[in-house]
Amino acid sequence: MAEQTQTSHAAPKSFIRKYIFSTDHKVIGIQYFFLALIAALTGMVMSLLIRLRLAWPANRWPMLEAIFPEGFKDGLMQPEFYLAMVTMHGTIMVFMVLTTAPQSGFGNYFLPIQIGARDMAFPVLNMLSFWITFLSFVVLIAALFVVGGAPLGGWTFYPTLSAIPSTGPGQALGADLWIVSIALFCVASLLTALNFITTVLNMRTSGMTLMRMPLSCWGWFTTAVIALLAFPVLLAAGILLLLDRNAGTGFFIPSGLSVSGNLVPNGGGSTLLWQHLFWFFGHPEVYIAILPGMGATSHILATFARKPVFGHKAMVVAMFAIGLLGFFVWGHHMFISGMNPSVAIAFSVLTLVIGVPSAIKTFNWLGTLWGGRIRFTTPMLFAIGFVSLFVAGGVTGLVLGQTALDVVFHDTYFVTGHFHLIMGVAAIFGIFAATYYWFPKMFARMMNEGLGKLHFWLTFVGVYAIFVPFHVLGIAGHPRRYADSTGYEFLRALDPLHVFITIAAFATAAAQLIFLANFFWSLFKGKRATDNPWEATTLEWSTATPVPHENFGEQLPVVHRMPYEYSVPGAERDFLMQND
Amino acid sequence: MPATLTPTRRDEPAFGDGGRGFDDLPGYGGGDNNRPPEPERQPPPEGYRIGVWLVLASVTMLFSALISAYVVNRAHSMPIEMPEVLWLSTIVILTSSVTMEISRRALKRRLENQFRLWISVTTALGAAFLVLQLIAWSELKAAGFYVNKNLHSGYSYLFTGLHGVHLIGGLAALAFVTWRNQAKWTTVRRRVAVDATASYWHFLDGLWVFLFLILFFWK
Ligand code: HEM
Ligand SMILES: [Cu+2]
Repeated sequence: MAEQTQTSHAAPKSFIRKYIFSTDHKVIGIQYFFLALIAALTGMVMSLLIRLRLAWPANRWPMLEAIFPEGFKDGLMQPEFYLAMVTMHGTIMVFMVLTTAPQSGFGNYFLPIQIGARDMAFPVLNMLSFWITFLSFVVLIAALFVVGGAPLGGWTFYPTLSAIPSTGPGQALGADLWIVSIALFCVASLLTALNFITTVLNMRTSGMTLMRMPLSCWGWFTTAVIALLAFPVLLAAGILLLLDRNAGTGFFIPSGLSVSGNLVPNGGGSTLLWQHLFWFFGHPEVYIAILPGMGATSHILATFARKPVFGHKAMVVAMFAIGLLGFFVWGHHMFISGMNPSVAIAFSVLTLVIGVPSAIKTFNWLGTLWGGRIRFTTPMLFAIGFVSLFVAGGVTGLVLGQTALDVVFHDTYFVTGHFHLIMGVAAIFGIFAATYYWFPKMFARMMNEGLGKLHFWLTFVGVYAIFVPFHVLGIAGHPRRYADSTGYEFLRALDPLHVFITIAAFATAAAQLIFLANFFWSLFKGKRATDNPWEATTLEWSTATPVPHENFGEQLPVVHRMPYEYSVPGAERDFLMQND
Repeated sequence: MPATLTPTRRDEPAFGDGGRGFDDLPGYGGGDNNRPPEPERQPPPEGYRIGVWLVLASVTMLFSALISAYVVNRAHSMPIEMPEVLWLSTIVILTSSVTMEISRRALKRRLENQFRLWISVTTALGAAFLVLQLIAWSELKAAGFYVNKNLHSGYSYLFTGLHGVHLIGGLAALAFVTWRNQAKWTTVRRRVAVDATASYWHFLDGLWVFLFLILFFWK
């Protein structure tokens, strides 16, 4: 409950207090953003290594052997290395990128400003959250380099493989570090969630009723509520697993198990228990990744369609409905675990019910675009791309939600295609949209529009070229998490498709260099941004650029209207600021 | 209003005797109630109370998850021997809730010395509780119930340990409200902070009783 006494308004002077151990939500937001950027690049390189092996399983890569002598013995990528890459890629992307950038990054920076507050409710806690997250990232990366190898149990870390250190390479210290990293991440995320919720409930400026909050704030708020209730469950699971591995308990280990002919001494537990705990967290986690993107998308669509969001209230209700329902569907990840068919039906129906609020959101986005005077800026393109990917990935979700179909598709590339479109890439598009949109406020310069659009089109075409074929692989019966398929005659015909996907993946990865170039060039050389370059209505655009210490001048703004009052009849401009 | 009041600060309510909790703090909360744009630079003190309720929600989720695991594992059906000292620790923590309440009320009546006395007693009882829990661990060990003896003993260590970790957080909160530089906060803010700490403390008390019951009395 550490609290800042801010009665003195002076900004901190020393470099360390200002940029490293800063309690300013804006600095912390940018710290999170750059952490996520580094993580995203790391994760992307790993995905390219994965793709190399899948396209050319027998090829030798002497150059890579020079970098990873263990992973590329004789230049051949070892299956253990492949599996470690899949595991670390998934873990880094899900936790360090998709949970970090949209929520902790942009949320930290803009939530207080958009509700007219001077900072988060608990600034010191906020600083602590970031540094624990940073530590978590360091521990995770360390897991790559320890004796015994990097963990390779997949980002879902199923026991019994993960519960017994002797089960194979990568299941020793590396796996312990993985669990410690995730536990730290849970703690940091809980502190962030606590901060976000308290801020929204307690720190809104005068006139900022809940319904007048921008939808981006609703996204961050709902996400924080989900995180607050979901992360403790993952933390619990992690603690149990750590005990199984190090204290000789057997919470996840069935009795009488033997590994390589040796009886495992501890037992009496249940492997399925982990799946329940993990997915009770895991399904809400996908909403933690996507809801901030939904909020940002709504916000950006309204700005550039020059219209209020269609069905503003319905958007809020749908968001909360998705969050709530998300807690009751975890069983759809376990349809083939031997569960009672009537339980499976219940999970199936609940899963399909989530389609309703999701469809409400989609139709309202389209309704917002309908008849708008659309300005096709880069953030707008990425927001529209988000809607496209959300639909494309959502449709296959409805397929997988049916038990009869999931029995066939489970653990195939169909699943991988589904979650990459909807969780991976859609959320990434939300991050890009937010980056292009808020960059002027955060860094006081504009990003280059031409490069931005080029980046958008290459990425948009690229991700579909990568992930639509994933579905084809899955329908053809290709299992996921196989280091290669050379031993399976029925998969031979799919080899050319793997090559195609890999080429598309390298091309898409190359397109991200355009983004990086644009980002860093604009940071130093971009056109100076005005206070409100997009002619938007919400409070972050009412304050100066760059945003002053404590966000607003002497007086906090007073809010008089809803967030997206564009094209108001009779108004002299085509928009009315919330505090006009 | 007692005549001995310290001078009114900006976040003090202008009326009331400070006896009722949430609604005796007019003008705080979100933007709904149209308070003047900037009563002060500090966020409204209600943040403490909201924050603690959120902490309780997430701690509840943590223990719900672990207790579900306990149920799924059917750990209660495995043998265990209850350390007798746990009766004592239960009495100690129940008492500490009472003393916490006494000190909280003393603060409301602005009896500074009484407040300090009873909050110190609470802190001491909390520390004593932790010591007793450690003794319980050694009793478990002496009876041959190591962490890995069976799942039931595993959960016994886990639940007592994790509860203890949360209690250490409670002790830190107690120290914070007792020792924080009094010049730096206003009467209302301090009272809300103590209220919030008390909520957390009572919750840990209840949680302990619950864990105690399901660990050793559920057959
Ligand atoms: C250039 C973009 C990307 C490519 C080419 C790519 C490729 C892959 C491949 C080939 C796999 C292994 C599939 C298997 O054998 O099961 C995989 C797994 C995975 N990817 Fe990606 N990926 C990309 C971006 C992302 C993003 C943005 C995310 C963010 C969530 C993500 C999350 C995951 C997850 C969660 C897994 C599953 C890991 C596991 O099963 O443990 N990927 N990816
Ligand atoms: Cu799910």
